[in-house]
Amino acid sequence: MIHENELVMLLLSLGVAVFIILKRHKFRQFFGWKLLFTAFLFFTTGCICTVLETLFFNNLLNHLEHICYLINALMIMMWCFRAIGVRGGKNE
Amino acid sequence: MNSPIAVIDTLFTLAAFIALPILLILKHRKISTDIKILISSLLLLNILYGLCLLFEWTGVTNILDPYEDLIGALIPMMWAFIFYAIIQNISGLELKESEWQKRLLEKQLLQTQKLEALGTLAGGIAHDFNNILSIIFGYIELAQLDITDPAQVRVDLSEMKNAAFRARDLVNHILAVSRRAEEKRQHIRLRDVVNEAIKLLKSTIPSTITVTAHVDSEKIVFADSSQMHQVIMNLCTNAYHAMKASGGELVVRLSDVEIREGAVFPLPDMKPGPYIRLAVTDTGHGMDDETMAKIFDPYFTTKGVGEGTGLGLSIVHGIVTRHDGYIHVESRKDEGSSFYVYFPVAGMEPDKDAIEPVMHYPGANT
Repeated sequence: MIHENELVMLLLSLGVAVFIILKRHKFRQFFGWKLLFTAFLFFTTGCICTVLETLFFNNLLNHLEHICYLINALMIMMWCFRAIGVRGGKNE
Repeated sequence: MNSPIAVIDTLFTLAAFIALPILLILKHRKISTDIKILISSLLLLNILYGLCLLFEWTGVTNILDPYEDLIGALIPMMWAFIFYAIIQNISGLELKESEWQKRLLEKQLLQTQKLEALGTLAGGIAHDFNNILSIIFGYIELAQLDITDPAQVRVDLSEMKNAAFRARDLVNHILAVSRRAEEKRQHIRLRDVVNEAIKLLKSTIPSTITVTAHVDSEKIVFADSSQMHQVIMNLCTNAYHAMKASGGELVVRLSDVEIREGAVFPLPDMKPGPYIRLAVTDTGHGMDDETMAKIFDPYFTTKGVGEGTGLGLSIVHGIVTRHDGYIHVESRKDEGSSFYVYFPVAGMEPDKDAIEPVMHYPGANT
């Protein structure tokens, strides 16, 4: 059975994804946008897996969901490291 | 308990936990504070969400359980805020950059106009000096011939002296122009600047064009006199060009106007208050609506190649706007044009150290 909160998370994420796609030309100017965008994509994929796991491949999709969330967090962490000046970013 | 998932959730929480302090100490020129705060909030939510998932899989008493749904819903919302803030940030940067480019362009325009004016001035000065020198040389030769007649020599010397005075006045004028190179706003009587510009115009414009001036304003504006001079000269030069082929009448009016609250304003965005209005009217070829819509655009010109840069009116517009003034134009094809410039009144007395207008040398032949 699909949980309401999971569906809300998925719909919100998809809404944000549409917003990003519509404004992608602007985001390209932002520092490390690829990392941030990919992090968000993994988060959205995690949400999709959460909703779908109640319908089929319960165990597999559940693992995938958690892995997606992990990759999302790791990518944000990488973005922070890049921004601090390890690669590309320049501190003031 | 499912141990691989617990490990993943632990790592997920840990990654967010490591990223958070890094972000807090981060100072990046392209990452604004609001974006930092939003991403920090996202990381905090990730930590809480990770703990929720971890508690759920490890079977530990989950104190965050009642808030798990809320936290889960807040995460995509936080992403939305982040991306929105990024868009705003980029738009702000773009706006700053376009503003900077506009200022740079304005500076370049002013510089080009100054160079153009300098070229014109240099040509005029060379011509004037040549005339004066011719007079002096002529009278020297006459004095040499009249050496036996002291009365005639005195007359010749007097003429030489007059010509030398004219040369001195010319030099004074050049010095005054160069002294005004840097912008210096003062309380000045616009009437004096207009009178000075008209004197200069009358000596340079051909006799087929009649120059009439009605200078009725006594009031003061807070302005750079050099730029005011430039406004008048540019407007009058344009008027002269419009009548160059056919001749006509150039009328310059300076008058006080009061724009009252609730009255019909000459321009829609004008603020009520006392103004000095400068009107430059010509009986030249006029303009159609299409041309009028573009006249203040930089590099727009109806003149032939080598006759104009298309910067004059653009510069005028820039100067007027910077002085909190307004400009508008009325024109009809083949019937002439009128330019109206409004400057806000700044008082009744000019500054004591205001740059005095230079007396134009009499009878200059250009």
